Amino acid sequence: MSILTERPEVAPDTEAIVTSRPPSRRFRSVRRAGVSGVVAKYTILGLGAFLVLVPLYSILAVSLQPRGIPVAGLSWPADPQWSNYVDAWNTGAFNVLLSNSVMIALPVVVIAVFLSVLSGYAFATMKFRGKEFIFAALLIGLILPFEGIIVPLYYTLRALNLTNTMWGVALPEIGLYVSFGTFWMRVAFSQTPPSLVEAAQIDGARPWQVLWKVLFPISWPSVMTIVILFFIWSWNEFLIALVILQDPASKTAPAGLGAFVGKYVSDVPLLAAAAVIVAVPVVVTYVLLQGHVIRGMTQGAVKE
Amino acid sequence: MNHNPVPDTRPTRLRLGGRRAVALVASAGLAVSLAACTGGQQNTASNEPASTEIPTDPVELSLWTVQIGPAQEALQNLIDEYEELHPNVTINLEYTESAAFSDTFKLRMSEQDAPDLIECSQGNYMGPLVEAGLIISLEPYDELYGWSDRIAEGFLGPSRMSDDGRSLGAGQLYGLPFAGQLTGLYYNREKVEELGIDTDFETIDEFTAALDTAKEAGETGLMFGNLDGDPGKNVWEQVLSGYEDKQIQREFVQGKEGTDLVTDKAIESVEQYQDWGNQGYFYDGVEGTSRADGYALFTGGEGVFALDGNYVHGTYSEAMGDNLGFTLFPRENAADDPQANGATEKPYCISSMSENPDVAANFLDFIAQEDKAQVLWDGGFVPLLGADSVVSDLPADEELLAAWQTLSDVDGMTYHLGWATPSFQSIEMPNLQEVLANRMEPEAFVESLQQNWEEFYGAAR
Amino acid sequence: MNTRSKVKNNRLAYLYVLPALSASLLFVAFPLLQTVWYSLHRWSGIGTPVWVGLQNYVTQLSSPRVQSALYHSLILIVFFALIPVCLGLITASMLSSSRLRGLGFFRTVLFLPQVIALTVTGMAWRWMYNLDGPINETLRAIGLDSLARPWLGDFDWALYAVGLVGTWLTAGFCMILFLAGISRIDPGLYDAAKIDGSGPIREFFAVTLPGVKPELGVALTITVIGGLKSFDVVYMTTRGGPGTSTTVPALEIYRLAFVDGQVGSAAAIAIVLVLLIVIVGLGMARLFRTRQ
Repeated sequence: MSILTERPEVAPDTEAIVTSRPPSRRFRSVRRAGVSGVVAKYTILGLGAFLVLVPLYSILAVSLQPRGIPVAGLSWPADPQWSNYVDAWNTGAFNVLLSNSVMIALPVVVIAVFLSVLSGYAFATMKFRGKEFIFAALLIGLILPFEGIIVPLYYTLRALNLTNTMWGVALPEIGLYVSFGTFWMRVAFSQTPPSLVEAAQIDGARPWQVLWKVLFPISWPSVMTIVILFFIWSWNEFLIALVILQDPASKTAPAGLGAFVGKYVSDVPLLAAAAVIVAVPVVVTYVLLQGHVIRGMTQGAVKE
Repeated sequence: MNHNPVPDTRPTRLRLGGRRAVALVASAGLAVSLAACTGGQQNTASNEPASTEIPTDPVELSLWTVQIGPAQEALQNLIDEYEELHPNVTINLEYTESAAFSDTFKLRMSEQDAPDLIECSQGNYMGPLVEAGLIISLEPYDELYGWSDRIAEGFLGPSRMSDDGRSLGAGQLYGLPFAGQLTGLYYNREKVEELGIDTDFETIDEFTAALDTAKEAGETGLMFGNLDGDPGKNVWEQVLSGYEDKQIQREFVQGKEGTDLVTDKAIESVEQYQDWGNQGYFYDGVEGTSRADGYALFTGGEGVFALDGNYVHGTYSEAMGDNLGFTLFPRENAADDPQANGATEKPYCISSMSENPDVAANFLDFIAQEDKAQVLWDGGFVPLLGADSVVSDLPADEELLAAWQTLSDVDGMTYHLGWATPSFQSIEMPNLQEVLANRMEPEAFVESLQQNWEEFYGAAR
Repeated sequence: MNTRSKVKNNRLAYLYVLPALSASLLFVAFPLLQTVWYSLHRWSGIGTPVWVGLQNYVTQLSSPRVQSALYHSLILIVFFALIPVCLGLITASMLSSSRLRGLGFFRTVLFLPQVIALTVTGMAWRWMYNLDGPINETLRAIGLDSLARPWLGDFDWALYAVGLVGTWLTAGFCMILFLAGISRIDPGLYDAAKIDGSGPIREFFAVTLPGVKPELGVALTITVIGGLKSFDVVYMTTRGGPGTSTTVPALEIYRLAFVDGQVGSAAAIAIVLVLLIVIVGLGMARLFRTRQ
């Protein structure tokens, strides 16, 4: 059987052990580290964080450098040019790019989450013929990258006149993300106490009502996780946006960033500012809701 | 919530599921599959005869360009002027960065909402578009507007294409060029004077000596950023034009049967390019620097020379002003006539998806007039018509114009080799990077180009 | 499966499953079959495809360019998967045994590379590797001028430079994953190991490593597949150059299908890539299956 049922006991989630609150029950009886050990641990963490942040810091620093002069090194600009962001926004038509990204991410999140909740519910609570087989078919989407199917996707969507439209990008994303979503929601619904459902059924609730009145509200945190993950994935999706959206006016922010290169030839700072603009919505989402993001991506499934 | 789902993809189940899933969808799938394959394009323009009349209802066109900076501004100025003349017409300028453009132009042009007008380089771009029926012949419009009476055949020639999209220069006119294009030596005037370099190079050896002088003084001789492989290719093709006679380059591009690029002179030109690299005459980070960063470094004072097409003229002169100089690249022997890589700037083609080809053609005719020379010139384009009437601000402008005159007088344009086949540059650019890294012999490099050519034209015959 | 109350063959269930299933079949499974179909044809993207059987596979798999792309994938797997997993294991096992203040902050930072668009991080790294960028500046500052080079433009270094971006992307993710795994291990096992007189290394192999087996499976699956596809990172940093020294299968798919008009050949490479990914997925699932 799968690990989902192999390990019915509740294991601590990622958050519990890496935040500062004591993991009570799990508290180690054997302490292997003294004071020097603690220093070594902070050194490791500090070094890791430093290495992660350097490239991100550097692009931020570059984005504030004065334009038109060669940029070098890692130094923070003496006179930060915040106007670079205004210029990047205007020359890159980022109001268009960002709204394109939103117009794709919104339907993807709404539809993919809705479909995932429905099918996750069926897989968690109902018995039907071909269940295992259908579930296995859905699993393909967990490991398959767009790289493997991008060729026919483009030509089929072109034949359907869906290239350069938001649906041309949104539909394949929905198709891919429902695999993860189904998977995730099945686990979530399986973990709700069966007595709740039974009680509702005794009260005469139909399956539809059981889902939306009983299971959905208590599984809300899990739903939230896929809402956020789908948003981030859709926002960051590059290959499919690059291929399906050829018309510059229909591009998403990450794909438009590539097209932005070279419009004003001598502008490393402007380009860096544009990159920061593209990253900000996702970084803000992440920082605010990181628990969901990390839980979803580490415990989720085989998905980037 | 806390379980790892991965092991749930346990092999037995997935294998079973996979096999059955295939059987399930296969029958339905394959039938539809080919239907999607052949989903082609229709020619919306072909039904009505060409006309110089343009409608008075609102018309919206789009023009797809790779031009940047001042050149793009010049296009916008022309559009503004035209829209003022025809208030019912709106022309939208679509810009795409040039590497992305060459990646995707075929895809974009095959879509229903393809841009009406596309700037499309001769041969390698135009060929596939003609072959697929994605752009229309301009012959009917040429008859109506008389373009070929105004523009010399030497310039229109490369914009002709056989209907199978394989023979450049033969067949119907598919694009209309407005501006000349030539590759030449841009230089930093202050640095050249400081180093005591005389830029009237008689031979390639003299130029090599100048690069050496620059190096001795701790300067970068030739500045370009070759991360995407294109600028280096431009440099080499100009060196080739310095060594080899234009005829072979032209015939190569035209796909003339029996053409052999593997000549002693061609190999020598590659050796020269490689040697400059080995001598340290190029920018230290040449292969790790993007084209745009390379431009920025040159205008910012890095490097004495830059060897590139005049499509950078507007960008360079805007940034460098009086400090920018331009001269033709020398030949191997002082006695030979000057030759420069190029011919015309990308001609404009009309999409077969366009609902308003008459308006698109009318706009092209509007630009193909002597009185538009100044607008084009201000954007760094060398106008094909009315070049003698333009007023220049900068010494480099005068130098560019004079160079173009000299070159036109001797018909010294050698064509870009990339026009030869659709996949030519994806062989040429990476292989030339191999050459520069001393990982490929110059002879093997030229042979790889010849092989690509033979595969393409061999298949045609 | 589950002990929840169920009705035998609940037909209603199909209504719930159908929307998600059809989305998946239409936009994932069907295109996958189409890819197989395309791969058996010669087609330029326009006009009528010509049946060529397995010829695309033969041509592409014997092409030096595609072979080197596959080889580069192997190297990238080292950087995207093996190194980060090792780093993650080592650091996680060192960190796990004590409570540290401020771990939440470090967790947020270490996971950050996973959520930022690869176009953005690709651009940041292009700058890092620039001749005048931070890495070379640092080398010069400490007197190692001779090591400074345009990393992404260097035939000998570009692939490793791209690979290092992969390590940057996945190392923190692996560590956080393993921390979660280690926290689940019964502390009694560590006590027992101590009593047996095990040192930290022995303890790692006897207790920690078996304990995080499921996480190891997840980490390797995700990162190996990440290394295999790796389109975004390569496209944004080197586009396969210099020469073809950093090209990967995904880039060849893109080039053949959309630039060179050899759709059938592109599809053939795509199928090879998918097969590799499926093999990795199934192989990892089998290797790291937890027995019970």
